[in-house]
Amino acid sequence: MKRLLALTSLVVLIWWSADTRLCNKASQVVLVRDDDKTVLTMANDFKGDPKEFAIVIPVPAVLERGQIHIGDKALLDHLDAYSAPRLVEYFDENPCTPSRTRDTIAAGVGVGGALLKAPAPRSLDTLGVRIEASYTIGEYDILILSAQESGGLETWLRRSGYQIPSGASAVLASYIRQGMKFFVARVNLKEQAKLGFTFLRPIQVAYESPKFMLPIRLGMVNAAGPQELFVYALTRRGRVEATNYRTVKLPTGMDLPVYVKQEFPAFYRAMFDQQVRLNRMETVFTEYAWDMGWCDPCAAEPMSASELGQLGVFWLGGGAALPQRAGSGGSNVFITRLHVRYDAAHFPEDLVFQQTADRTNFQGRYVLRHPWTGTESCDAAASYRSALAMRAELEAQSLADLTGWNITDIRGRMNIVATKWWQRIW
Amino acid sequence: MCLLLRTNDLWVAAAAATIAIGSKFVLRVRGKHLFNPTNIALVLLIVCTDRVWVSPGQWGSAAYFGFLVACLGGLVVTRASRADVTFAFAAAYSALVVARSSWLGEPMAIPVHRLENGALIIFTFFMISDPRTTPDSRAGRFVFAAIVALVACYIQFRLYRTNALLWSLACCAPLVPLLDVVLPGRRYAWPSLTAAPAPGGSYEALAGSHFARRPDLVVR
Repeated sequence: MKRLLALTSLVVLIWWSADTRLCNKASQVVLVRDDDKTVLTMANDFKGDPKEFAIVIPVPAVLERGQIHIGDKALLDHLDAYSAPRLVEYFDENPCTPSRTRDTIAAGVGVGGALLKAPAPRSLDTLGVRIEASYTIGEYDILILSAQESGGLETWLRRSGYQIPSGASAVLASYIRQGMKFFVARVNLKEQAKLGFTFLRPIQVAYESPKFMLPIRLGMVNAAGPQELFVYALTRRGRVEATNYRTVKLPTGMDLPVYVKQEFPAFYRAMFDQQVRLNRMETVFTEYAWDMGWCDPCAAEPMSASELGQLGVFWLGGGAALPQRAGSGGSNVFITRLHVRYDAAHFPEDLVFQQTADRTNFQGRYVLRHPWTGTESCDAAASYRSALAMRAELEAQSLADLTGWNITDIRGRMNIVATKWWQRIW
Repeated sequence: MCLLLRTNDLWVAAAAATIAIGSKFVLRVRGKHLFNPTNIALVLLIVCTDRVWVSPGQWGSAAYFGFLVACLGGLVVTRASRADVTFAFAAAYSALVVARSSWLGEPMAIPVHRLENGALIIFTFFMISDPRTTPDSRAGRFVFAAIVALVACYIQFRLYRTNALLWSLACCAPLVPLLDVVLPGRRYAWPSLTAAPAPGGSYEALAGSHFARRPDLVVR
């Protein structure tokens, strides 16, 4: 349900939704979690030759065929658009004739990522590697492996054509000792041609385990630099946060210069870069936390019960509408969108999460206020116009603080004339 | 408690305070309260309500060393005589975390990161160290600290549950009366500012006694 905000002394009505791809080369993960049951959806923006694509993911148990599913990328795109940081526009009303108010929106973020490579094997050899299961599902050939020691697994994967980065063995070893299995998937070109997909669809796995975590260490072994990850956690109870890293909310609610509308992706990237710097790259950022039943304002329509069901939200009950929470308002699906930039130096261990009782709504939301440009004269208009310069300066400073952009450049873009001599210094 | 308890409901915060203080008077064995008040309030509210959580990662590791130095300094200044349980727990827990990582072949950065946790510091310096809910004897306190550390590691690394330290202390607290029987010692008493001097004694003499230190900064 879309809602309109009522704010004082503002008038507007332009809805625009740009499902902009704000980040490149990032991974998207949907984590549906309740009790110890997890449904994990993994998407990436791999753009190379499909035969070069493969993933190796530690999983807590051997997965049966029915626990693996190939998802619909459109669902992730919808979830991404729904939860993305957004711009809200307000248009100042004529100060001489006060009237109604309303708001608007805009925005979006996109992601994706790439992993390893491979063709695949068939049989068990003497390296202590056991093929626990082997499936072809959708366009993927999937193996569930267990291993006795990491060297054997690494050798096995190499012999089987997987380009395992050097150093992976040490990471694999700790997962093996924890009794974890390895989910290995590669693209079956024949099946892909038969199905007609030209892109790689998300892989979904469902499992039951007390471990509420994301293994990120394997992906960092040969990473050229920091990696980007978006986690969309869908839970029944409330907000999700990391337990072994600090989780903070992205700055939100600032008034920004109107020209940011034309370069929102650049603004968002710069702001995120700046926040990562300020937090010494040791932090997980919350970008959105909201009851899935509604939004205000909406960057995209809330997802339907059917769409959420396809993403793995298993407690819905099959109705067309989202079930309400017993004893309180709101639906029984809560989304937390987390964004993390990580590397091995700053994120030495895997991400571990917990579900909290916090259902406070939060969104990354940035405000554009369009000045009234009428020519009428009245006392209110005179004081309004005199306040505009101060407002523009504050917007410029907010933008500079958020992004680290040069304040002089921002003032130039806004056609702000520095009236004080010191404003021309910094 | 306000460093650890997270809730959006005022009544839950009030309930936590009530449980914490009430537990000192209700849950007693041989004249000594059984549970650390903050610990039992947090655990009971997490179990019985859907409105409480603890955010162990909320401090990150940026302020870790400053926090650690402040805690150590406070410990030395205020209660060096009862610091043994703190140091015993810190040593036992650190040893277990490092040993597990070594066994798994993890780089040392992982156990170090796990030990640089603000909630762990608070627990170590301000919760498990509560003199009234730890064993009376030094040997008993060492044993108790080691058991709490072991159970916490089991909960965290085998059961994969969050807030393992809190669960562990709540589970192990009933062992304290047993340890007091097996390894008896002199019971700790909070100093009383209104206590009258014994006949023939003086207030100065009282102030110089072991029990006349200023009250500790303890989550109790």
